[in-house]
Amino acid sequence: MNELINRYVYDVVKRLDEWKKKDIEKELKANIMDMLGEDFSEENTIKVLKKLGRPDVLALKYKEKKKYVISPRLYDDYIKTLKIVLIVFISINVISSIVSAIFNETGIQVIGTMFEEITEELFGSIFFAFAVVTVVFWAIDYNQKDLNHFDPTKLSKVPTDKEVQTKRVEAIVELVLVTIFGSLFLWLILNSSVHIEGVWDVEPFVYSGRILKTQEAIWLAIMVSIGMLITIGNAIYRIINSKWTITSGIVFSILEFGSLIAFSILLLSIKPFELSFLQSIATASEQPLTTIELYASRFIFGVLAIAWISTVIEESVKWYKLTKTR
Amino acid sequence: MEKDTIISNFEVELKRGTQTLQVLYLLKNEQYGYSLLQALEHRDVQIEAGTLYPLLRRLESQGLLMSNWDTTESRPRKYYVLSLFGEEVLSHLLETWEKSVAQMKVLIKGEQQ
Repeated sequence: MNELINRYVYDVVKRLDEWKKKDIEKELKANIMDMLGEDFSEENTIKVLKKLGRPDVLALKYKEKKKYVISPRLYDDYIKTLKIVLIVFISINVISSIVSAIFNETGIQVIGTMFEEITEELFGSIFFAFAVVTVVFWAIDYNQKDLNHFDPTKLSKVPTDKEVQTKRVEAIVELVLVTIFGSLFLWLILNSSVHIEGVWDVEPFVYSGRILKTQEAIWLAIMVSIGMLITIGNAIYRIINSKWTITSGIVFSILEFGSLIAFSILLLSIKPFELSFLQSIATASEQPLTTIELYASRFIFGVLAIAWISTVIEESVKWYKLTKTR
Repeated sequence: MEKDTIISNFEVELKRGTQTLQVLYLLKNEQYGYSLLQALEHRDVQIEAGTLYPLLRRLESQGLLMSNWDTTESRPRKYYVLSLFGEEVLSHLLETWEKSVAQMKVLIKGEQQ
C-alpha cells in the first residue's frame, strides 16, 4: 500500500481511543482504496487524501465526545480572568524586582539587577498564574455536568454596573494582597535563617541559625500554599461571577475551614521552633527553657486564634449576605 | 464578511440538518462508504468524504445502522444498512421534515396573501 496512505491513516488513528483504532484504520484504508479506484499514482493519492481533509480534523470528527480542558462555554471568562491575573502577577513581579534592586544595589547597577530579577522571576510567575487559573477553571468545568437543568428562580438579581465593578475590584485587590503577603510569608517560613547580635537588658544575645525546624517548615509551607491557592481560587471565582451562589459558597466554606482545621492540627501537633533558638532566648533572658517553650506555644495559639477569628468573621459576613438577599 | 460568504454559510447550515436524513434514507439498501458517497453525489447532495465516514460510525454506535465486513472480494469493504431502530428514527425524521416543509409553505403563502 502507498506509504502516503499509511502515514495519513496513522496520523488519524493515533489521536483516537485505543479500542477504536484497529477498526477505523481498516475502514479508512478500505474507503481510501475505493476512492482511489484503479489509479494508485502519488498524484491521485494526494488528491484523495486532500478530499478527506486534515488528519487532525478527521480524527476530531471520529471522536463522539469532544474533550476540552476549558469548554467553549467558559472560554471567554477564562481568557478574561487569565488577563487580569497575568496583569496582577506581572505587575507584582516588576514592582518587587524594582524594589529589591533599589534596596540591594546603588548607581547604575540598579538597572542591571532590576532586569536580572525581572527576567529570572517573570516566566516562573507567568507560568504559575497560568497554571492556577487553568486548574481552577478546569475544576469548575469538570464539576458542572448537568448543563441542561437550571432553575430560573435561583438566578441572581441584576446588580448595578457600579456594584459589579466594586465587587470585582475588591476581588482583584484581595488577589494582589494574598499573592504579595502569602508569598512573603512562604519565603519567611522557608528561609528562617537569621544572624542576630544584640544586647538583652545587659546580657549579650547572639544567635545564628534557623528559627524554624527544616522539616516542620516544609509542612507549614505546604499548608500555607494550599490556603493561598484556596483564597486565590475564591478571588478568581468572584472576579468571574461577582457573587456567591449557595453551592459555591458551601464549597469554598468547606475548603476554607478544612484547610484551617488541617493547619491548626498540624501547628498544634508539631513544635516548629528550633530548640537552639529557644535555648538562646532562655539564656539571654535568664529564664528557664520551659518558660520560653510556654511563650512559644502561646505565640502559636495567638496565630491560630487570629486565623480562626478572621475566618469566622469573613465567613459570617459572606453567609449573612448570601441568606439576606434570598 | 462578504455577502456571498454569509449566504453560503447559511446554506451550509440549512443543508447540514438534512444530511443525516438523506444518509439514513439511502441506507435503506446496503451500501459501503464510497458507494454511498457516490450515490449522494449522484443525487446532487453535497457531503464531504471526511464528514460522511465518521457520521456512519456515529450512527452505527447509536444503533441506527448495522454493519458487516465483506472480505470475499479483493478489496475488503464495510457495508452499512438501516437497523430496525434506524427505520423507526427515519420515519420520525421524515414526518418532522414534511411538517417543516408544510409549515414553511403556509408561512410563505400567508406572507404572499
